[in-house]
Amino acid sequence: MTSVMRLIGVWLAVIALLGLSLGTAYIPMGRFNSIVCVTIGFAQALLVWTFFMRLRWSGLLIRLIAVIGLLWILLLLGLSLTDYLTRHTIAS
Amino acid sequence: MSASAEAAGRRANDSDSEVGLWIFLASEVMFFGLLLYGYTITRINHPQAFAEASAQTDVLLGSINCFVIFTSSLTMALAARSLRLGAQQASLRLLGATWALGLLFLAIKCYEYHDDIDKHLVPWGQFAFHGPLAAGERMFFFMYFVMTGAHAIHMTVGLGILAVMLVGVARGTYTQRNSEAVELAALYWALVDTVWIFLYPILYLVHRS
Repeated sequence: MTSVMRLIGVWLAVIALLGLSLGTAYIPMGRFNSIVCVTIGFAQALLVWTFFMRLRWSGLLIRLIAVIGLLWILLLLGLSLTDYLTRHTIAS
Repeated sequence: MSASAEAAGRRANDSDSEVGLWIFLASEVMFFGLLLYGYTITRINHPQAFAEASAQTDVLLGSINCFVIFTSSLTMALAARSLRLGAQQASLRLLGATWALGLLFLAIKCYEYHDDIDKHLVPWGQFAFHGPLAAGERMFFFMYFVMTGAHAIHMTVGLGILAVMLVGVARGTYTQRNSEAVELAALYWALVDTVWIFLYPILYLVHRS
């Protein structure tokens, strides 16, 4: 597979996932709708980071920066939410 | 591999400028992450209002814009690849296509804003919702305008960078041997694309079923 074909393949996959995301949004699944849509978003982002941003061919340092950037934001959001979502429980 | 790169324990393909740009991109993730946190907290407090307000966004235009920006990411990645391989003319055409797609994205977004204003969805000023959930619906559209606005500013900056790349490649400043600037522009452009990947489901697809 040439690199052009690979990039076009990634683009097709991202577009297919967009269709999936839009399609599932119209199926009533309650709160799972948002979970599915955001999970699909992560899959799309992963494709973009790996191939369009060339993480697949990057060295260790750049991979580390990418992973740590993602890890930190998840950690910050996760810990902040742990605080916010449990405030009421502790207060009562 | 140079001695300094060797000492830093990295492979030769991680150039200093690329590493620097990645650090900048990680800080951008923090910026948009904070907006995401604000969105999450407000949505937890006003789930019903967010569902109803989100249904007022234009899902067709939002989805078309997804297609436009994803395609622009492809042409940008191909433009960087072409230059890397020495295909100057192909790179120039692909950069031009990326620029045009970026402009199309902003044009559609502006048209959408115009519609939103017409429908009185702007949270400051006269607001379309008056029911018991109006406070939460106001918050949704506040987040909507701040997040899409911050993204649009990034797109505008990206168009500026792309314009410089276009001139550079056309004049022969950026060539196969000096393609790094275009590579870095492609990284920035892909990150702005990624931001939209996440904004789309949380703003347009909250409650469609």
